[in-house]
Amino acid sequence: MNKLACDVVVIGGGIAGIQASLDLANMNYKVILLDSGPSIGGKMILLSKTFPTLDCASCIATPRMAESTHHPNIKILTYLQIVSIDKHDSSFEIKILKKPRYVDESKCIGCGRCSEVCPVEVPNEYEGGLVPRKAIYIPFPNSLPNVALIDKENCIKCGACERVCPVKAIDRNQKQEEVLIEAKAVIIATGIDLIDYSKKIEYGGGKYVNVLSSYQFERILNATHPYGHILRPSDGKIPRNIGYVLCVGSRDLNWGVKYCSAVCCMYSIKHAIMALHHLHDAEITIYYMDIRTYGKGFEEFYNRAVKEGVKFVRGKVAKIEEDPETKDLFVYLENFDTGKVEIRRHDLVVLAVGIVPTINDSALFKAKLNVYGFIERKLIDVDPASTSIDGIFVAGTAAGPMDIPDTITSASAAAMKAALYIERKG
Amino acid sequence: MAKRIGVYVCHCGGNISDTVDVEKVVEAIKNYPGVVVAKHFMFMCADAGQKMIEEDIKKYNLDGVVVASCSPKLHEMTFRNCVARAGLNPYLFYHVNIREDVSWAHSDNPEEATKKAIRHVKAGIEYVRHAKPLEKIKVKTIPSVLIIGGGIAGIRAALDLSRMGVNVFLVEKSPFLGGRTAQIWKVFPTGETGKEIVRRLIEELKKRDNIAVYTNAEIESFSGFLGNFTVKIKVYPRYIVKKHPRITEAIKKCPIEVPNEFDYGLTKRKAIYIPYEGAYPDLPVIDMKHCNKCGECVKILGDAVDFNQQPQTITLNVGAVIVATGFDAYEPKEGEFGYKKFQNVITLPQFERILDISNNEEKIMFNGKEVKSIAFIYCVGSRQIPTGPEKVNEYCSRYCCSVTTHLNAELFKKFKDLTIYNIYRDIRTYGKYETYYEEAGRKGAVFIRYDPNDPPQVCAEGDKLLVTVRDLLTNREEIEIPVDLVVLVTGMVARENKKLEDILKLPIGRDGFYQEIHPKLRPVETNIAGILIAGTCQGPRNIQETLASASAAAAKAASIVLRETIELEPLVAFVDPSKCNLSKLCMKECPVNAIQEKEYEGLGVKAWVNEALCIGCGACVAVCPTEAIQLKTLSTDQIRAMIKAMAEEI
Ligand SMILES: Cc1cc2nc3c(=O)[nH]c(=O)nc-3n(C[C@H](O)[C@H](O)[C@H](O)COP(=O)(O)OP(=O)(O)OC[C@H]3O[C@@H](n4cnc5c(N)ncnc54)[C@H](O)[C@@H]3O)c2cc1C
Ligand SMILES: Cc1cc2nc3c(=O)[nH]c(=O)nc-3n(C[C@H](O)[C@H](O)[C@H](O)COP(=O)(O)OP(=O)(O)OC[C@H]3O[C@@H](n4cnc5c(N)ncnc54)[C@H](O)[C@@H]3O)c2cc1C
Ligand code: SF4
Ligand code: SF4
Repeated sequence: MNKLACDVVVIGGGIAGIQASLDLANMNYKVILLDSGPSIGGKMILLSKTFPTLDCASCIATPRMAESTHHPNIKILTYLQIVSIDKHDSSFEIKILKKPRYVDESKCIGCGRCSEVCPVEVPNEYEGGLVPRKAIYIPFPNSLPNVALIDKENCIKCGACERVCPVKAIDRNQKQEEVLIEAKAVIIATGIDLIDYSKKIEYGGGKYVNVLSSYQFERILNATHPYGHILRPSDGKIPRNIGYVLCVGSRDLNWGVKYCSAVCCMYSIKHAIMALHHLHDAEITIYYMDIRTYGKGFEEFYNRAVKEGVKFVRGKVAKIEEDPETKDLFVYLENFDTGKVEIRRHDLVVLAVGIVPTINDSALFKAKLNVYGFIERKLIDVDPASTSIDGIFVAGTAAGPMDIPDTITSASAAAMKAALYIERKG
Repeated sequence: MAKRIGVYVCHCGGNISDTVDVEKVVEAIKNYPGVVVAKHFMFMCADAGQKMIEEDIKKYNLDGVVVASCSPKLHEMTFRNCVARAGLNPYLFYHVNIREDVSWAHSDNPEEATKKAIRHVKAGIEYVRHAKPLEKIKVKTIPSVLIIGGGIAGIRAALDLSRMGVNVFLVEKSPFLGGRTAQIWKVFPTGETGKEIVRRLIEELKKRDNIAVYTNAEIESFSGFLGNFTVKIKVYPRYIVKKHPRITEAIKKCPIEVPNEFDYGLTKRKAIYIPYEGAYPDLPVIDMKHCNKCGECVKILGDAVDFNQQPQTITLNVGAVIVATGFDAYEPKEGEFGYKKFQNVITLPQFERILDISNNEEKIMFNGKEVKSIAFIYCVGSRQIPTGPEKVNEYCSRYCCSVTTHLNAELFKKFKDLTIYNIYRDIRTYGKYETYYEEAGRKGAVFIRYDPNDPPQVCAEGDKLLVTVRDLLTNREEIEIPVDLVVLVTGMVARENKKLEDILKLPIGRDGFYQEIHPKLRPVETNIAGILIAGTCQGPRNIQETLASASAAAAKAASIVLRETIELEPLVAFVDPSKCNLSKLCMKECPVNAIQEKEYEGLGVKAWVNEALCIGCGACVAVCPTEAIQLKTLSTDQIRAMIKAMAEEI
């Protein structure tokens, strides 16, 4: 078994994990950053632009990703599974299983020729399934490491990729590999997932092609957009009339989660502003219960959207129906301002799907979870990076829904606490 | 002079290439003198893009690199590091901005935008051709940090840094630490008192021997640079110089009574006072504005009182500064929702004090009467709608919805038969705070939504108040609510702190709070290297968020001062002594007095630049009659060559 040692293991390579690693590395601690996925970057690198200043997510996240890769104090391992975390007197032992990529990471130059020739197409999870990817693929344009991997379940072993790879990087005999890491402290930064809205039968449960999740819409608006333009999936027409439903699965006592997901009001407004910039005369209506633009510059952003013509309707969407012929959608809502039940037609509907924690295994992660499954902060009143276990700290959305500025702040705080724990000068 | 130049044009994933024809740009400059390789790429800043540049530097033996992409603010450092990894001096690189300056600015005219991009790239090539290799300036850092403001943000940052072995100077303007947190009755999410939180932090602080606390103190002057600042502080007298067992008795004897600002004037204090039990330092202060030196306290305390104590000026040397000066509560205008017109219209901070002061009572008493019904009016002083040129608080204060809904639940828990109305615009209990909203509703609180263009009216009816509001939840029906007390849920505003802001030249945002350098990725840093911001001085936030930002600022400060030396950019002026005729015009122009006279061997006395002080503004360059003083990173020759290249026909 391979053995490694460092000062701090950071679990999760989203922007929280990256920031915490950089802060620790800049204070001269050795860090190993682990991500279960094939690339670091988390949700942020896949966003289009970021509220409230609308700077493009790639432009600000990519340099951080690159900085962490090149930092002499940081080692990054991706595509792995955490097997166990054990605390001994003054150290932690983290056992991981590196999954085989079937591509030699040290040889692959990320040219992408393999994907070009691969005949297998499966839905691309990074594009929210809107477009296909191949069985051998590089996750997304600026992934890090920028190397390919084979999705073994779908590979038909035709050998096309092997024939074109200019550096002979494909290695079908790769085995999974156990690695044992010894560290003095651990930071959990495992981030968020979106609620699976297929259980929301009233909204079509994922069956209507022109009902998109906010993440899918985020991808459509991205500079590297899967469609190259804002189109609706059913017929490739440019949508003229978009409905946007907030709090899907959030603040919902019957279905989904009780808490508020804290970022969807803002990203929906962001989407609406961006869509209006692309589709000048489109009509965009946001259906909401409360608009929660609470952060710095957020209310101003909301006011800007109103001024630019985004329509806000306070109401509860009871159900969505599809016209089987045109694939247009009918939104049934109780309009709180008029007190009436209304039916409105849209050619595209976006659901602001709530967020949930990625991890649900407190036995594995040791630190206690709260009732919602997020990592519980023990000394929330004096030390918000703390968890139930001394020496394990939490950063970013692993502790609860938050936006990027709060994620970054909490990550730097967690780095500070991990450093203090290692020093333990009182 | 660089002769083997590589040029790299970025698409920025469409941000540039949707407007600028990047292929055409590459075509146009690939045969320009000195260019040996020219390429375009989807994301130059991505690892693959950087690798490509590194490999080219080695392959083509480049001695100059130009990248045309986004603003250098974003990526100049990225690419400097990239070329340095390939062994090239990082100052033989130039970053051309063809996004903010070109594609975004001219998205309506792709053809002209492409031409402009070509001109800018050519200028970049000229820059590199004339660039010289430079070294970073190394300065020794001082392993101490100054923290301004002793609220929970300041204390938290002080504790963290102190435990990392960094010396801390904590300077608080008022006579006591703790800031506004101590004024809160019951704090969400734990339900403990604000004082309890402050007490726990102070307990830790008392154990530290490398934190020097100065209360009643202010910053007087500030100079220096990242890693090495000199700060003068003025400590005002407390007039009580040591502890004494009979302090309480002495305070009782003081004949002067004034409103206690800690309780917003709801209670009185003496001229010699401690604002609340447990305040730190546990030494009273004499408020000389009101003291008449009657000597009553001296009779009891003897030489523990010293009326002749004088202000002291202390000079501190520190490597970094954290500003944690907090917020002020919005003070409603007279008549705003009946404020100051009716006695029983109060603000949320005042209400917190009332609840705290009467914590042992079973009823809420106000002006001698029991309060059985309360109306909270939300968003007072926040989310204001601009109507004229007058500046308003457009922002949301973020903390107040969670505090007030949590307070609803706490009130129901403690007091029976209470009726609570929440008159709000949107309830913003983001994240897990949603449970407070849900709980308040479940326990019977009434929620009424108002239209900011048709706000609730407050008037008196007998000894009660009558709130008239159109409820948006019930189709704008007008309702009248009689209540005993109206509490205005006032927002946070930037604290009045002009003197400090002028001394430190702090960047201030549109909303009046201090401006971070990057709203997403660098929330606790400012555009002044070495000055960090923590807590509510940067923007409204709750305790937990305040503490996180304080620890984040501490981490940044630690990474500055824990290094023995730091490297500064050689973005400074230098003098060619053979050209200098000592006109001294530059010295007059320099805003930071970085230029001095110096004896040069064989040349006599000429001007000399202290690099550690120079801020690279270039004011001196413009006035020098002999072009003897130049910026290292941008010489006059470079500028001339760049202008010439830009003006060339395409
Ligand atoms: C549609 C949408 C739009 C948004 N728009 C904005 C916006 O415009 N502005 C803004 O400020 N915020 C926005 N946000 C919020 C923003 O995405 C988050 O604040 C941010 O991404 C959180 O970063 P994180 O590092 O905490 O988590 P994540 O980005 O989720 O990263 C977590 C990382 O941990 C890894 N991981 C997970 N589990 C494990 C495990 N068991 N072992 C190892 N690694 C693991 C994951 O692979 C991932 O790389 C948006 C969110 C969504 C959903
Ligand atoms: C009514 C009310 C109720 C609240 N309830 C809650 C709650 O239940 N839960 C919660 O999480 N949050 C609550 N908050 C928010 C909480 O009070 C703040 O988040 C917290 O106090 C911010 O701390 P701070 O250190 O940033 O600022 P402050 O507490 O304002 O401290 C700043 C300090 O800096 C000092 N200072 C200012 N200028 C200078 C200068 N020039 N030189 C030196 N020193 C200076 C000040 O004297 C002060 O001591 C509440 C706020 C209010 C108004
Ligand atoms: S942020 Fe807005 S949309 Fe998202 S759950 Fe909260 S209130 Fe609903
Ligand atoms: S937090 Fe709530 S009360 Fe405070 S300003 Fe924002 S919306 Fe208004």
